[in-house]
Amino acid sequence: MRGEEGVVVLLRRGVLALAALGVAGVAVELALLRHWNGVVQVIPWLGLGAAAVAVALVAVRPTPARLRLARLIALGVLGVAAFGVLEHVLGNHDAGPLDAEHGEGWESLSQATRWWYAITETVGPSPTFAPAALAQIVLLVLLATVRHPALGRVGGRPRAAVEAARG
Amino acid sequence: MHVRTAIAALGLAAALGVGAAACGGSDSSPSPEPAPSVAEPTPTEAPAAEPTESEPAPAESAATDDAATDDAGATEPGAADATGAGAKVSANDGSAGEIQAALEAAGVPNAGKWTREVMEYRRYPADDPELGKLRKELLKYDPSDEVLATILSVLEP
Repeated sequence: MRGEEGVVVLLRRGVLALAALGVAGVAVELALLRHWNGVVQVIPWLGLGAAAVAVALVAVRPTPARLRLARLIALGVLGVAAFGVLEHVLGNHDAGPLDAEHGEGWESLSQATRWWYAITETVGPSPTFAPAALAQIVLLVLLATVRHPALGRVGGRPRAAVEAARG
Repeated sequence: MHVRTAIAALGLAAALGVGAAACGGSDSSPSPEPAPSVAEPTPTEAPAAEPTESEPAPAESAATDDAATDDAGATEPGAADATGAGAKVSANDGSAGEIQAALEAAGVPNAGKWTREVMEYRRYPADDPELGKLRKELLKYDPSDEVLATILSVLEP
């Protein structure tokens, strides 16, 4: 394997390893939080499982179909991550009136202030951007599929087209 | 909470749907734009999740307290008991109505929201009369010491 090509392979594997590490880390974190109170709290587990499948699809015997499926799953998990962030913000906003410091005057605060407090976790129990960890994992998966040799492409173009152009 | 669940399912389905639509098999890196698909749970929907929310002001609680004492054994036994001879409502087995009534009778503001939290983190260890687990969960919401103590005072495992 030539030098530059070897580096590319190493980096691709490294990116996938980081994604796999992320899956494990988020799983541990969710378990420690006992993040399974109700249907909504199970969603990140589903997203995490899907992310793990996406990692495996890219890492083990990648084919064009498997890579495209991994991308499809990754995009779905990105949506789950975005929903998670939104859900956490909504939960914090909903919990605003319960806060000892801000609850009493909650209704008198402007909408912008209330949402700011919810986003910044000034009120509420939910870590706003924790679900974005899922997004990071699948972005790594997507990165690992860019110009993947199994896609049979050279320089972003189908290999057959490149070879035809070369004559 | 049911609305939340529905929103969650809708968001998940929409997210996966966007994923399916966005992945056309191209080799170019996809441009993830899932946010619109999950933007449906608008802020206005969140309050709708608590149609039964009643949030008595502390001023109301005094009157409610009297009423509960007077009406002991009427329609809300939980409330009557909680403010009566020291009997408490079960955090594990009490209905939402019973718990909320007990909290309202004790003058807890936002009793409906607190009731929802009590219900969410069930079940509580029967061998922990101090409801340590519930205390830990409720502390996440940063309540005042007085509110927390009042909530715990009307509940038992």
